Amino acid sequence: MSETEREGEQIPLIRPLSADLLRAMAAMVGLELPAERAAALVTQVEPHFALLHALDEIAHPSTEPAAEFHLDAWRSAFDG
Amino acid sequence: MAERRRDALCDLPLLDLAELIRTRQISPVEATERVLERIVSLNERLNAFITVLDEESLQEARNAEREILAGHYRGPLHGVPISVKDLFATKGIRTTAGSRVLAQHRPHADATVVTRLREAGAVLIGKTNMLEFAYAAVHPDYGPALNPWDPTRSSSGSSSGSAVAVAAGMGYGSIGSDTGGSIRIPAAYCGIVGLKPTYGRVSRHGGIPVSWSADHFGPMTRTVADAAALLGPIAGQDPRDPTSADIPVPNYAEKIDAGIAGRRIGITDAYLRQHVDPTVEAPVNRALTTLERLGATIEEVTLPPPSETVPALLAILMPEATAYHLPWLRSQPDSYSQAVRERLELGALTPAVSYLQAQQARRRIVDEFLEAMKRVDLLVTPTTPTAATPLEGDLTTGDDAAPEVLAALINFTGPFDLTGFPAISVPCGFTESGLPVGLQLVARPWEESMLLAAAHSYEQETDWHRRLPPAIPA
Repeated sequence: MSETEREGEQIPLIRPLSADLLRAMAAMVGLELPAERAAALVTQVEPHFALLHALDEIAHPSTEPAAEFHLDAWRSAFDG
Repeated sequence: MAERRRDALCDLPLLDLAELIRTRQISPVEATERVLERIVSLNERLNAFITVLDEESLQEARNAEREILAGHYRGPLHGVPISVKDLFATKGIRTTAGSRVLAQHRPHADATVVTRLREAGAVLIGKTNMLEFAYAAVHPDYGPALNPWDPTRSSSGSSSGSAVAVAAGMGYGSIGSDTGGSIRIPAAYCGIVGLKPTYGRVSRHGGIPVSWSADHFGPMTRTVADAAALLGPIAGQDPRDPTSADIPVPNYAEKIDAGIAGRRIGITDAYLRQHVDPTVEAPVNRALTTLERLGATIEEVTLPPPSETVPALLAILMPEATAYHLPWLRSQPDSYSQAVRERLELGALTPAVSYLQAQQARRRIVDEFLEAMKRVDLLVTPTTPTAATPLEGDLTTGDDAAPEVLAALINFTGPFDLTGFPAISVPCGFTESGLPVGLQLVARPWEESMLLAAAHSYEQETDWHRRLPPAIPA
């Protein structure tokens, strides 16, 4: 896939990110977000997601992620 | 006003005290008593410690004294009062992580770094104040550790209490943790040395995590040689930390005088001048001139900019932090400060895809840094874009959890938590208003020996590290 094609696929930020949407998202990981907390968080979420969208530019889809298993070390821990 | 120098016993470098102890000119008990007196005189004002181990430390000092007199000298930490950040588990001793959540937490065992300090004979003087869970904000139950150069200025964090304690002579060194700059930034703000070793060099076992894949533990001291003396005993593989590396630990002290002549130093605008305050840029430029005079050569390199490295770091550390805190965030969210709670909630809203994209970016960024460092031995940057900022409205004391504010502070330090490369902050001057400025040197993975030797060589050409903060009484 060419760079131009990738750029064309960029998904615009959903606006506005509402407090209700944030409450629903938080609930999916079992986190209760009271209405006033969710409202306060709305202003923080936009720059947060802007930061995450920046990753589209710097992460290559074919790159192996850096997070790794270290099974050799786990074996040492078991023996040790 | 004439600059005051570090002459009193409490203000000596760790290795100077070690020599006095080894040669039996000073007993560990006397050194510990003097440090405890200094803590009594300063801690109420500077708030560097959460727990002072007065009785326990005196008992440890007596044990050390007995061993040394019996001819069992363990090495340069033997009988030396040292503190640790209050996120390292200490058996039976309160370990709060600067939080209300763990206000009464007494671990069953010591963290590996604490065990290793004890094995080296160090006297544990206390547990230092820190930002809540090392996550960039002060919890109001503890309050900020105040900067000894100017108490109206921030000591930043998250290892703020460790930096303040070392700068103000309340112990001869401390162990901090660094996930975005939490050793190096407070070290720069408080005019001391802060070393973040290579990821995997020091065991993370028993340290309360921010981010498993970006947390680093390391020494905070008054000189580079002291940092080398503290790193050796705490470094090395630990079967209880699966990410600790099976790589031999060199004798750092032996190689400290290797110098910097012939070393190639890489610089680039994005890590030297962009968004850097002139009061920081000027001393850093002078430091580069000093490094050249010492025989290093300086050349331009191309590096992934902070605009790439810092978002990748935050996209990794924020959900990792939330994963650790999720049970408490569900059960007692009001125990957190507003800023930390917001950061943890933002972490919960981070998609798994973003986390993996950040790990993909991390792989590429590490490769690019390694490629750049085939041509150079070291990188040099300012440690922070500014000197210590006013405490009022500072990131660490405000309620604003905005990611872009945090990102700006860690522009120069965060990239090396993402890549895991070793990095050290050393004092390189003062602003006109008397605030310390930090110079950061970065080496390739596992090359702490070279990094320490270069930093030591620079330090020997300057006297910034010998100056005494005004908070210390005459």
